[in-house]
Amino acid sequence: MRIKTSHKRLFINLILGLILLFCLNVFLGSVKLSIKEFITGLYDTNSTNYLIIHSLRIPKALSSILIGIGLGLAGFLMQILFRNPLSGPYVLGVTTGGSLGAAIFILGSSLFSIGFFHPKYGIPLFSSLGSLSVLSMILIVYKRIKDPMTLLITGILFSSISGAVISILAYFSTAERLREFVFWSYGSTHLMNSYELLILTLSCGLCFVFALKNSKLLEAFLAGDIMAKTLGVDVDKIRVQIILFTGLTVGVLTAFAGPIAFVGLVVPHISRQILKTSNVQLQLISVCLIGSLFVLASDIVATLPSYAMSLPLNAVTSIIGAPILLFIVIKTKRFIF
Amino acid sequence: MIELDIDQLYFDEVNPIARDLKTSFSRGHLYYIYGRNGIGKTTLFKTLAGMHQGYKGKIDIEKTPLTDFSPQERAKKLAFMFQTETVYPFFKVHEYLDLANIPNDKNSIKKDEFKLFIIRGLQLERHLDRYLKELSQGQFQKVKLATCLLQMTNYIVLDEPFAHLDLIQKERMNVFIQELVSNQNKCVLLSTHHFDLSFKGNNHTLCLTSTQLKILKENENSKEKLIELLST
Repeated sequence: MRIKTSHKRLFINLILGLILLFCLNVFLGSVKLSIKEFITGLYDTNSTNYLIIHSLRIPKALSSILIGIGLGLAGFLMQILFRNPLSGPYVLGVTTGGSLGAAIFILGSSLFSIGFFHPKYGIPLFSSLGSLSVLSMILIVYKRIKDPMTLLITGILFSSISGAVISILAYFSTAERLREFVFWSYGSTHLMNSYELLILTLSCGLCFVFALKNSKLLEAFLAGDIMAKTLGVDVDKIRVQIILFTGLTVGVLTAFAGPIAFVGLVVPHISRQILKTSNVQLQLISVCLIGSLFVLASDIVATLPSYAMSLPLNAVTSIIGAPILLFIVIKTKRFIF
Repeated sequence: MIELDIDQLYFDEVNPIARDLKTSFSRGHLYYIYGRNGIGKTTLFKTLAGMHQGYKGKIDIEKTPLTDFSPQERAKKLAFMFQTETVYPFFKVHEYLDLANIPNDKNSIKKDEFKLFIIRGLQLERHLDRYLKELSQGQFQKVKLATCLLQMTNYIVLDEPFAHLDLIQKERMNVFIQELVSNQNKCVLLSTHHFDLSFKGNNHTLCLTSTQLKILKENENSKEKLIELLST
């Protein structure tokens, strides 16, 4: 793959920005550190800051990067799949399915006698099961009606049903359980252990490898369904694969970090406007870098450096993402998928 | 050779549009297919492309049933140019042309030479680095034709390739296709509504009506006869 000098320069800048934001994300937190304390905390195992940096802040920054990559990739693939600029990881209903799973565990534990699971394992497990159930139903529907628009509407329907069930569960739940669920639904990059980070890395990695391996076929998708078919692309097979890989990635992300809005929607738009190319390989790299930058920056804002409390990440990504998207629409006068 | 033996062609699963489409198309020949709007020209082409299954009968490509080909194998035999949907605006012309490599991704000198020949023949050299959104519809039509030809298949199916082209471009493109057929031994099926095209070489005029796909004989090959047939 030949990369133009302007694209090379862009990627170098994005990587430098990523390194800078990563360091800043690790440096800033509720416990204020001086630069000297930060540097000694990086390597001095006897320092109290060592634990803060290595056990809390670095995993948090890494999970921000992985969430950015995963949601960015999922949004990018969804927008190609549906040829719709408003598509994102949410449209298939997989995220809401994950929320339903988490709601069943948190809000309905007394109703369904599942309280014996520890929340640390129970929430991701039930959230994954919720996402997978919705994903399976979507695939069953797609096998019968092979039309992207129908799929889009089906996803919205599943989201509505899941949302309604969550409301019912919330209605019958206790205030304490409701509070726990609301906190989960805020989304967070905190407290992921190395095992969870590994699963996140694997799911994002699989999604990336799938997209990279099929980059030429995805380019044919950009030229339209008819063009892709005449070029010998097995459109239905690729569609099912896109649904499967993005569904699994989003399911895993939702399970561990909760629902995080706007990243999957806005990141592909930013990437498209910067690169202005149909080259899917270049777009994949840029989506991963921009997604990471976006979530790292949102997480820094959400952490409210020097304060003991933090803002919901889900809200911060929306507050930052929406104006960016609005700016893109005003600048380009239309959405481009 | 493409052999059509279609008893009935349907628009969808129930609505018939044309019947008795029985003919064959050979390499080294160019077939102009005329027919009224909605008679089934595009549906017939989509059937050949494997995108439409609403027909009763048989289609063979070089003695092998069309249904036996996988999408990729079919794309190595047949190239299509359809009136496509809205295209992603950040495609540059050279990137769009590269899509032709998807069915057969091996590079060769022969392929590079052919690419140069097509780009020059369709006068696309100065457009290569432009975005598709910057092209006129006629220019985009030529890019689509080039992409189709660059698949280097023996059989080429063109759905209204002269739409949006001015008189001069239309005639140039027509002559270019005729030369390609005779010099490169291709078989081209081409649907059009234009009857003011110059004919030379192994060209055939076909008329698609709801009851037949008729190849016009030399003495029938006139505008008046065609209008008479299309009106029936």
